Amino acid sequence: MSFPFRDIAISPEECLHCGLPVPADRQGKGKPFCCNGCASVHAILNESGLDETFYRLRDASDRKSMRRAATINHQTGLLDELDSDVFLENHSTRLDGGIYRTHLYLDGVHCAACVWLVERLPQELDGVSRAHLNLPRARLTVDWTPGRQKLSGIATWLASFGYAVQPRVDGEEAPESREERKLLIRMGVAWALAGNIMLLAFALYSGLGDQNPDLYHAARVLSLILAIPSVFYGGWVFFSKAWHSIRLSYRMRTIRHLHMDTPISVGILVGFGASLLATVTGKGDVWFDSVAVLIAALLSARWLQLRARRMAGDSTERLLALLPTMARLRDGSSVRADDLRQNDEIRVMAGELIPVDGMVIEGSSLINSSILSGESIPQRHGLGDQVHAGTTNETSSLIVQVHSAGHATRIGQLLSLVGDPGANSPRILSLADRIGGLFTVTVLFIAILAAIAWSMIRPEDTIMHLVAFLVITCPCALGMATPLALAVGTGRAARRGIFLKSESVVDNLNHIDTVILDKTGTVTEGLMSVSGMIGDENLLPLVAAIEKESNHPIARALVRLAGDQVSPGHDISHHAGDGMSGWVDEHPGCTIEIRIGRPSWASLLLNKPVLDDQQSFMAEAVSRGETVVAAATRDRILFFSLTDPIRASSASLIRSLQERNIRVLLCSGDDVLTTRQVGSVLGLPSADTLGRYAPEDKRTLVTSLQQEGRVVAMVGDGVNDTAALKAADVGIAVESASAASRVAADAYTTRPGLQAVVELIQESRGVLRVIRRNLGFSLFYNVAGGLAALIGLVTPLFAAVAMPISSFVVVLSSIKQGTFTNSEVRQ
Amino acid sequence: MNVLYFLVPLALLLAGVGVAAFIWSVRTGQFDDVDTPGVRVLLEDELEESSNQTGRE
Repeated sequence: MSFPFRDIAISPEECLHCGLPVPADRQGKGKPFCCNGCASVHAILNESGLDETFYRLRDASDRKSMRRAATINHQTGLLDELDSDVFLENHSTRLDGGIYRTHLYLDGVHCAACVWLVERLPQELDGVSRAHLNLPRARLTVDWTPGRQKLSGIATWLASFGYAVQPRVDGEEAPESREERKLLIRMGVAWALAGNIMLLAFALYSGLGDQNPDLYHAARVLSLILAIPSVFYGGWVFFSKAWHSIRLSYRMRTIRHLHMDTPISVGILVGFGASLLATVTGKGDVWFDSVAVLIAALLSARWLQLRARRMAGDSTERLLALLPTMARLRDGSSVRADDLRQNDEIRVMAGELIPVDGMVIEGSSLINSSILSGESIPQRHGLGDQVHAGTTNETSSLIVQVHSAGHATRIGQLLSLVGDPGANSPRILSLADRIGGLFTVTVLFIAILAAIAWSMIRPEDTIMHLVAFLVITCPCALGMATPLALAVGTGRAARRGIFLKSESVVDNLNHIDTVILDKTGTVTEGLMSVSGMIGDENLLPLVAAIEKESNHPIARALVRLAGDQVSPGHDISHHAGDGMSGWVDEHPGCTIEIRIGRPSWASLLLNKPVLDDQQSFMAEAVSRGETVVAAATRDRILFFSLTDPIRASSASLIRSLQERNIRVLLCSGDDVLTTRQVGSVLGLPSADTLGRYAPEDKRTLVTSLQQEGRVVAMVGDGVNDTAALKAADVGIAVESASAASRVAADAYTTRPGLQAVVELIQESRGVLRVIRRNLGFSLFYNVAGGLAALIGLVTPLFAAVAMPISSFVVVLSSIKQGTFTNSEVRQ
Repeated sequence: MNVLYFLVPLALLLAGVGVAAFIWSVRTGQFDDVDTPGVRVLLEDELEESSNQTGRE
C-alpha cells in the first residue's frame, strides 16, 4: 500500500513512522525510517491494514500530542507474571459472565492514533470485550475472558506496536484519584450551594426586607440551611488543617506553624456564626453568600493544584508496580516475597523480575538493571555476583541466596523513604505559610484593638464591625495566590518535559546557593567513546572479536568503533582490573593471541618496545583525563584513548548558575584526575571538582553543606545519586535517569540534555514572581478591606462584590503568567 | 409573591438533581480523564471513512 499524500507531506529526511530525522546510513533505501523498530511497526500496521487510519489520525492530532511523564523500560519478564493466578487475583476485578477487568499502564501512547489502535483490541483479539485508554495518564482498562484470551497475549499484541504494558499497584483506582474525586465532589457541591445562596442574596440585597418581611426572613432561613452543608462539608478541609496547625503551633510555642487555613477558618466561622445569630434573632447582617463563595473558590484552587501535581506523582506508583510480590523457593513452591528470610534460596526464572537483594549461587544470566542504574543494556551476572530487587533476569534461570527482602532491599528502602512524609518536610517554609502565621496574629491583634476602640465609641456596633473586619480580611485571594500560580506553572512545565513532584521545588530553587552535579550521565553523556588511537589499526577487528564478549563500557565503545561483524575469538578470559585476553583467527589457519586492557599489562605480551610517539600519546591522553587502553599481540600494538563526551548543554547550565552566584560542585565516582579534567573544561575551579565519591559520600557532602547553612540542589541520574537526591533541598533527575533516582528526586526532566534543568531553575523564578505578585495584590486587598471595615464601610454587599473580584484578579494573574513558554519544543 | 414559597424549594430541588447527577458522574470516573474523550470523538468517523476507502481499493 502506498501513501501518496504522505510522500509529499514528509521530507525524505524524516522517519515515515515517528517523524524523527533519518540517519545518513539509512537514507536512500526505500521508505525512510529512523530505526528498525519504526520500520517493523510500520510493516505490522501495513500487514494488518491498520496503517492508513493510524497515520491519518496521528497527523490530525499532531498538535495535540503531549509529552509523556517518565516511562520505565519495558520488562520482558512480565509476561509470565501476567498469566499467574496471583496477578489475576491482585490486579483484576471480576465482572459478570466470567469477564475480568484489569488495569494496566501502557507506555508509549501519545496521540489519537494510539487511542484508536489500542482500543481496537476487542476487534483484533478474541476474548477481549472492551479496551479503554486514558491518554494523559497512560492507563489502559481491558475487559477480557480468561478462558478465551491470556493477558500475556494482549500484552504481546500491544508490544508488537511498541506499547509496553505494566501492571498497576492498585487494581481498581489509584488512591490519589480517589482523593481527587472526593475533592471534586466537595468543590461541585460547594459551588452549587454558593450559587443558590447568591441567588437568594440578590433578593436580600435588592430590598426584599422593605417589601415583604416574611419572605425576607424565609430567604435568610433558607440561606442558613444551604450554608450549613457548605460550611461544614465544603469547609471541613480548611477546619481540619487549621486545627492541626493550631495544635502544632501550641505545642511548638511558635506562630510559624500557623497555616494559611487558620485565618480562612476564622473568617468562615465568624462570618457563619454572626449570620446564624442574625438569622435566629432577626437582627443584623448575614454573610452567607460571601462565606459560601469563599469556600467554593478556595476548594477550586485546591483541586486545580492536586490535578497539576498528579502527573509527576504517577512515576512513584509505577515503580512500586514493578516490584514482584511473589517469589519461588528452590523446590518450586511460591511464597510472598516479604516473608523470605536471610539465606533462603530462591529460583528466578528467565524473564522474571528478581524479588530480593541477594547473591547468585547457581547459574549465570544477563541481568537488566535499568530500574536502578538507568543502564538499558543487560550485564552478565554469575556465581557470587550481587543482584538487586527490581532488576530483570533476562536469559537463564538463577538460584539466588537472599540477603534482604521486602522493605530491607535497596529499592524497598528507597520507596519507604519516599513514602515517609516526615522525610519530605522542607527546611524552607513556603512563602504563603510563612505569611500565614504572621497574618493570623496580625489580624487577630488588630481585631482586638478595633473591638476595644469601637466599644468605647459605639458599643452597640462593636460586634457588627468586628465581624465585617474578620470576614473581609479572610484571605480568599491570598489562599488562592500560591496554589493557582503553582498549578499553572507546573502544568506548563509538564508540557515541556519538566515534572515537579511538589510545589516546594519552586520555592526552594529560588533559595539554592549550591548545586552539585553528578558527572557520569549528567554532565557527560554517560557513554564512553574512542577519542583517538595510535598504532597498528589492522588490530581493530581482532579487538572487536574479543571485546564483543564483554559488557564493560570501554568494551562497548571499542566494539562500536570496530563494528561487530567479526567472528568471535575463543579461549577468552577476563582479568579483573587488567582487561581481557583471548585467541582470534586473523586469517584462516593463523590464530594469534591478543590482550586488551591496561597498557602496562597488555604490552607485556609485546616483544618489542613501545615507540616514543605512542608514549607521548598516552601521557597526553592521561593528562586530558582520558582513559587509555592498549591492544597488543606479540608483534603489534594499538593504543586507544577513550572519553565520556561532555554534554553540550552542561557548559550553559554551569554558566547560567555561576551568573547567579551559585556555587557549582562536580561530584563523581570516577577518579580525581578525570573529574578535575571535566571540571576544568567546564570552567570549574579544581577545589570544586570532587572525584572518588561513593554514593554515601555524596549524601554526606549534601548534608554537611546543609549544616554550613547552604541550600543545596543535586542533579543526578543514577542509583548512586539517589541518597543525595533525597537529602538535597531540591533533587533533580535528568532525562536518562534510572527509575529509582526519578522516584527519589523532587523534579525530573524527560527532555534530553541539561537545557531543561536550566529552564527549570530560570522559570521557577518566574513562577515565584507570579506568586509574589499574587500575594502582594491579595495582601493589598486584605489591608484595604480591613481598613474599610475598621471605619465601618464594609457591608455584606461590599464583601460579596469585593471578594470575588479580588479572587478573579488572582486567577487572571496566574493564568497569564509567562513562565515555561520561552521557546517551542517539539516532542 | 406567595408563589415563591413554592417556586424556590422547587428550584432547589432541581439544583439538587443537578448536584446528584454531578456526584454520580464524578464517582463513575467521568472526570478522571478529560482529554481522551475529546480525541475519541474523532475515531468513530475515521473508522467508517477508512472502511469506505478500503472498499474503493
